[in-house]
Amino acid sequence: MNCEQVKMVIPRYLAGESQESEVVAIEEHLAGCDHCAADLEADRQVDASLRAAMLEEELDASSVILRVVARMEPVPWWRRAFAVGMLRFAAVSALVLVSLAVGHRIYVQQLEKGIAMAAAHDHYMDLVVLKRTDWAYSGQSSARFVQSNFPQTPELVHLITPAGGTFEKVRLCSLNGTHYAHLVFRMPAGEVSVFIRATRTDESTYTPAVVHDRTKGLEVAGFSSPDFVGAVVGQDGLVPTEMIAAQTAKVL
Amino acid sequence: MMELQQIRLLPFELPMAIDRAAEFEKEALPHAASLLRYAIHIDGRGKAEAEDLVQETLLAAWRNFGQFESGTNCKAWLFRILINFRYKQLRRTSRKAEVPLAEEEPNLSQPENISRNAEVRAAFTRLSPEHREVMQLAVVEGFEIREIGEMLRIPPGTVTSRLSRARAQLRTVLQAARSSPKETL
Repeated sequence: MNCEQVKMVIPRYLAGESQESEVVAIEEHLAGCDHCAADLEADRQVDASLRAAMLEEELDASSVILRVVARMEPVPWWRRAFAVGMLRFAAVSALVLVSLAVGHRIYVQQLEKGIAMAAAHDHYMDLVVLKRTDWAYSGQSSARFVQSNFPQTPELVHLITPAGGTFEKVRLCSLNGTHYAHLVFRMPAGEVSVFIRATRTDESTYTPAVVHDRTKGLEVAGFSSPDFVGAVVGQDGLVPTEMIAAQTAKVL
Repeated sequence: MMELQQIRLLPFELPMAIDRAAEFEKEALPHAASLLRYAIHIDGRGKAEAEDLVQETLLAAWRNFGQFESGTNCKAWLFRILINFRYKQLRRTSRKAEVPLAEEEPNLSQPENISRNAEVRAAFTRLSPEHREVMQLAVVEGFEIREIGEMLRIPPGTVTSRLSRARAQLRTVLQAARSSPKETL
């Protein structure tokens, strides 16, 4: 490669998109050409400066997110069907029917994972992105919340507060269409969310489980007792979610 | 790792499991800050105007979320929508895609008062709109050259040549600003 050819492919090289043979040719040229090597270094510095300059500003997008969420109307089913195309819609329908026919259990397992992931998502959206305002904080408002949602267990907050943690706030949320109370506790390792609801009379007991949401760096540990079911969410590797979940199931 | 707990669902709950809103919140909304950054810097918009553009983008994405293929790059899909809206706006208002010098632009005649990052941002506004586009998408947002070509509807070769010229232009502007601090850009 000569200088002009190298200049043409440097953007691809800087983006890490050059094929191996191109990388070898570029680096062979750079080893013997101080001018091109200096140009490349200057380009790298410009990139680093621009990234630093643009990412220095911490843009708060919460107001636009709130406006969007407030205006998100449900999309009618027929529009979704046309959006994915009738063939794909038919394929999805067939898949659902087959799934139901061959094993409700497999489908249910996916939904279980969906609820765990929904809990992680709710923790993330509530505490990191949206910072909702409809929380009941400690004191009378949280006592009223517990009284109206868990009348059989007025000491709920006290019972499930993790060792070393302090209760912060509670709100009602929806995980995949089912209502849960979302309680937040402050611990030395960070905020911990406990999602909990009373079980229905037709529900059987469960085997607790742990799920990881790698994209958000969160860990979710499920729990169940004869009267309650839920999940504990915290930062992966920092918060002992499984231990808190086991303790919660034990005291309930 | 233990299996997930078995939660029994009643038949009427099955449709709820496909919670499109939750999926949209998970896939699309985390990119709102990136979209906002792009909208602010590409045409020198104020934050309120940029937020309107991002809101329009996200609501259009929500209405057409069925067209988004799960597992593909949602951020690139959202940027394509935003760029389309921006082009439409520019055509509608015949607004020239140039950046006016905002009142908050630092005074480069007093370099001791400005940070290096502010200096770079000010220099960035001196690039042509085409160069700002590719630099922001490639360098700041980290899109692949192919993705940028699809967003801007130009061949990958054009993206790379614009990137070369944009970097050279930005270096020149920054060097000029630093070597003659008494002169404004």
